[in-house]
Amino acid sequence: MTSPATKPQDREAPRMTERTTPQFLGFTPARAAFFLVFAAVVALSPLVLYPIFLMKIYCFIIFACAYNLLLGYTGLMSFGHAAFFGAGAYLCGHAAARWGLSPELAVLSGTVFAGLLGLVFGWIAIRRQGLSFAMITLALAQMMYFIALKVPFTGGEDGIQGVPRGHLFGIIDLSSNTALYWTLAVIVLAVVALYNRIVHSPFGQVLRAIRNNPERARSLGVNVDRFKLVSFVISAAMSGFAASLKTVVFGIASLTDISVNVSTEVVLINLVGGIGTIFGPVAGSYIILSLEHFLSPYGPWLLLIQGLVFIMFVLVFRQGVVGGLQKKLKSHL
Amino acid sequence: MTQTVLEVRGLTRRFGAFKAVDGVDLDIAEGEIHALIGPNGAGKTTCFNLLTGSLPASSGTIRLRGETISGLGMDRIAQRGLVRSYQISSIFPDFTALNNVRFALQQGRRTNFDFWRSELSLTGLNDAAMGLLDDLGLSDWAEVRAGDLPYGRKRALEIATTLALDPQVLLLDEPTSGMGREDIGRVTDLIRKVAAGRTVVMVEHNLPVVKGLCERVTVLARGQVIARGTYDEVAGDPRVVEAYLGKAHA
Repeated sequence: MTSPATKPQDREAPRMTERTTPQFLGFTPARAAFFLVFAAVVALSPLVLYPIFLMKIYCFIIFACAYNLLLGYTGLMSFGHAAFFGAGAYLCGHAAARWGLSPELAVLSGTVFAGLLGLVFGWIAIRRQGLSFAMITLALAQMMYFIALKVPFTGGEDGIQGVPRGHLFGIIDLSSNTALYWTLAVIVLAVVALYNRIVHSPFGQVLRAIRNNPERARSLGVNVDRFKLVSFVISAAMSGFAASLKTVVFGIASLTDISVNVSTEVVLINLVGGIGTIFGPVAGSYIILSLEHFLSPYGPWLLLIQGLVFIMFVLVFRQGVVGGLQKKLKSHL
Repeated sequence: MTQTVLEVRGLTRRFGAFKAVDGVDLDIAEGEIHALIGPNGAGKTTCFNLLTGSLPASSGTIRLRGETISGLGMDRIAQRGLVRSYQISSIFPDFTALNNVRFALQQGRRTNFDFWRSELSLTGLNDAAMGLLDDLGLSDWAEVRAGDLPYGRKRALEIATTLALDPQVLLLDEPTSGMGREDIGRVTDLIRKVAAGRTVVMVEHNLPVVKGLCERVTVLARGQVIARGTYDEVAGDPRVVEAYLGKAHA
């Protein structure tokens, strides 16, 4: 904010900018390098880490990308994403366990259901901005939690257990952790690439313009509410997709998936990783889920440490890990 | 007499019991530069907000080329060719200056929902965007983050962005406010230049600018039109002098 304006005479050698930087599928050289590092980590990490833990991270990366599209690029702060995560988890679990659908169709139904719920919630919430928007999403998500607690469909406190992994497209047996791991590895890389592509498209430009200055965007002829709603629905559907994958991996959909902790966790992941960045959701998911994983023996201390991390990032490191790197490298990551 | 582009009848906006704009009639002719002047609180900016649809009118009608636009949203009105600039510079601070203008150019291309294409598909608009930046003396600032531009340049950037939509009717809300004398000269020249082939309505406090630029003037006071005509006609009108200076001088 405070960096001084570049004076014309300082600009003898033009800087590399989005105008002059070559791109391939939305990847600048810097983003491509980060993506390749991420792909290498995905390929090599199962040699040293427990694959189920890694798959959980991948589900949260997808969830966090969904959230960052809304917060980081459209400027809408939702406190209710647990509703979409939970809705996706429950419907995917129900479809696989009770309707006997194949995993790809179960995941698809979870995704579509979360998207439809996003359409309804978004339609209500985008009428207000800022804090009111956040509070409406929180209230709607708490209603969903209450419904999940009361209706028989969700299995109440037990959740939907014993969700079969099944055979992907009838061929790949997902009951093997190896097969499931590589399936998720491909999916998470594809989703991050797609997320990058959406952000760096003409549509992404509109979203970023709305985050920057919605009034001005409207005065230039942009139907701001429609774009907010589309962004909200994409985000909700992607969240449902992430939750559906998580249900396939763990074989269970439960109240944990729809509790308010899920909504705050996805905020925390993006805050630590970097709001309004491509690789922030990736870095944030690795950091936050590792903290949870390795500190879980200490029980309630985990919450205290998470709280301290949250405060630390809000106070002194608001741009997050990737946001900080981005500033150093002067390139959008 | 040329054709009327913008026809306003009985435009009224209430805020509670207070009438900020009270039964305003306006006829803006094709191709003219029209000034809306008046003392502070006369309702000029509210009038602008009503014309562009950023505020709904309490009553009255607005017609653009014979078609009623009152009741449409600001985005729809902009799409029909009536576009405004703001009194306080309204830009996209995180975009470069070039991207600000290019974003407006993108609006004419129906590419807004293209999420599968690269943003590089927009580089075809760079030359047009640079041309507009050049017109406003901003070409050396093209790659600077818009939020880091000095004040006068932000104003210029906002006008460039507005012009990028190639509006038929251009509404400028105090285009020279807060500018140094040198910048005022440049913006005045620019307005004269862009007014060719379109209609300009501007709110302006700087009366020498109005005198030099505007063919016709409408004077507002307390939400009502108190005079209209050429600058010299309204300047000599006792009601105008009274509104500006108080009764003692009238």
